Amino acid sequence: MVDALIPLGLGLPFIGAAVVGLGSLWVPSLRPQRLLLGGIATGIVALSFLIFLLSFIRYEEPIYIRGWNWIAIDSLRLPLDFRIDTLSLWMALIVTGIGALIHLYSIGYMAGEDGAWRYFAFLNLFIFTMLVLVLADSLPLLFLGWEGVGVCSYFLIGYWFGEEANAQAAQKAFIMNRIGDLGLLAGLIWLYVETGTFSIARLRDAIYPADVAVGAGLLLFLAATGKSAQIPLYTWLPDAMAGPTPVSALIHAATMVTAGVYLIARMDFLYTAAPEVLSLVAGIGVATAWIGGLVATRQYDIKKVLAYSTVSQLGFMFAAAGAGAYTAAIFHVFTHAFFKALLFLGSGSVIHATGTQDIREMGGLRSFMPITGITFWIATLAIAGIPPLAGFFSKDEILAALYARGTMGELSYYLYWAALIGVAFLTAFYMGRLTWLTFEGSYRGKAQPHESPLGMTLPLGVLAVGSVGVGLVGLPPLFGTSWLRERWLVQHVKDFSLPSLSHGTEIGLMLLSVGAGALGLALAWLYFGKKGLSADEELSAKLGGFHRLLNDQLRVDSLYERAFVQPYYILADLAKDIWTTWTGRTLPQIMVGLPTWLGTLLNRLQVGYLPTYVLYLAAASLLLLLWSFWA
Amino acid sequence: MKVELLYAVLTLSAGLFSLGLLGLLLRRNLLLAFLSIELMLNAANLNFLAFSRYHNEPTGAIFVLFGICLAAMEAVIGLGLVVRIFRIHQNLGYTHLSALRW
Repeated sequence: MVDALIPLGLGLPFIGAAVVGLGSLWVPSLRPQRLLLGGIATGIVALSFLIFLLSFIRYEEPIYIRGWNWIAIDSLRLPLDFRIDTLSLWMALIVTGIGALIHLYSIGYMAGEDGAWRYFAFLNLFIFTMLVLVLADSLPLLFLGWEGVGVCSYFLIGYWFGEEANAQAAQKAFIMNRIGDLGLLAGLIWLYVETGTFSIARLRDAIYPADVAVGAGLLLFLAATGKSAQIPLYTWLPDAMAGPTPVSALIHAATMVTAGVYLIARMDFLYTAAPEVLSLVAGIGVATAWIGGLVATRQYDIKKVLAYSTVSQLGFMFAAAGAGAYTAAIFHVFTHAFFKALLFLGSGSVIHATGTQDIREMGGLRSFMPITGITFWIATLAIAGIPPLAGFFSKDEILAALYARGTMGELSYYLYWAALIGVAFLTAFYMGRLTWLTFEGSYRGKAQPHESPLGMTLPLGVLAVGSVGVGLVGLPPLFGTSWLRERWLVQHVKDFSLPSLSHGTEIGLMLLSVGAGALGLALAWLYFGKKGLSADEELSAKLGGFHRLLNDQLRVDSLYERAFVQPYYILADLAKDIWTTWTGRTLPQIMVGLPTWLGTLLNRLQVGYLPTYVLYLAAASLLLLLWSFWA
Repeated sequence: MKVELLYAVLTLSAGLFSLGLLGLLLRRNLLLAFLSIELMLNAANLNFLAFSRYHNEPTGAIFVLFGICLAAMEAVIGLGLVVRIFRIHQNLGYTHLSALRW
């Protein structure tokens, strides 16, 4: 019964996208019906969420849904099969649950927008493709979902395509992702060539040489760095903030960008078999977490701060996956989805109220918009890792996993652990700065801020409750057992077996990470809580060139511009020259000249006297005959 | 079929082919040239048949059927051309037909 509902849960968002999108395309009078279209889109995602919730409650064992073959040539089959197990069901719940809330929020946020029909159609399509991604059993199907979310992301970043910068940002996101996608495609083809199967479930038991695990693991990780905004492909994510804020919340914070983490957790067997790659994953994750955290401290655009915060938090997830603690990574995906979606929706509410994204023109907003202010504070405390909020549990599990990996004698993991403690401090610091400058002190802007309507504050409230409470699904060993790890995900995600830590060590680690968070918040309060924006200006002046470097986002874009884009243009110019002079002029001359010259030689043979031709024929026959004797 | 008989038939076929080729080279009459070509074709057919019988294999015989079919079609087109050429030039010599020369 429940099994039969799952295709419906998967298909509903697609139907929603078709109804809202194609319906509005054919019947233009539908387009201004924002409430109706938004209502359909929201209801459909909520229904899909309920179906997945029901199958979660009734879950017994993995469910396979056999699709048709996309391609069937000889022995090559590209099956489109789905598999619903604990991990994919968990991701589906996050996608549809958070997705439904953000759909609801969008109805209020998109008020006064002519293109809301487009927006809701793509948002529904995004939910569908994301579900395809997480529920796929065969890698080609996963790839389809992977590309699908990329396309939806492209359309939604470029929602206001009238401004060139937005269209550019959309293209940038798409192209950066393509680099990673190539890795996914190459990786899955390599795995198929080695094992003869595309099915993830069968790959788990397949036998392949260790260097294939390393190679394919690296390629899939390249894909993950693209989609999940890690070094070196992270630069698209901050620019992706050009889209509407709920899109940033859903796609570029809570769900799509976690696809890379999901991919690694899904292919856990591959990475466990390749410890060198795991170490690289952890290293990249830690480095990205640092860069994201550092840049976030010196941004003035509220969404840019949150974007770099997302980059940094994704780094945390990759560090966890790199320690082999895939469940810890998924746990952080889960908690992060709540508080980061809440932060983005809160920032959307603020942008809606003030009409600006610059935090220098905000301040004291909590008195104007108490619900947004309080929920934003809750999310700040959660991301800073203050117990007992959700972020504390997942961050603590990640740090404990890295430390435990260190005790196994892999000393680099101690370094990663120490570095992430630093990022935990940075996280609390930049979030404290953002929240104090935005919501406390006195108002510095000119607009008349007001609280957002109920349709927008309701999702804020639900997400705030989640940000407080959802950490309880993953209690650390000190307080009991982690239900998420030990009861649920363990069925289909096999962590690298890490040594358990003594209670004393565990308490020590916890105190350190909470201490780092508390210190960051305290420092932020000392600077920005007490003195407001003037303290920030003092800090900028004190940092000087370093401030400008961070404010310019480390100038990675101009580095890439010089390292890749300019050489590409030079190459393109060269190709153009070759085309115009060689291909366009010289080659045709040769192509015409050579046959003409050959022709003048051969047309002497055409004498116009038929008996001569017969002689040719006879001579040729004789030659053939001689050749057949000789050969 | 014995191998001696095969040799005999092959020799006959080679003789027919040579006759055809000589006819084509020496005669200057379109109709006779045409007949010579037919002679060569049938020499080839005979060759096919001889090997078909010798190897006890039907492929060669089937090939000959195609060959006859081809010869019939060639005759239709060829004779049509001969008639046209005769109507235009009022003789059957072909040495003067050089309008398509470069």
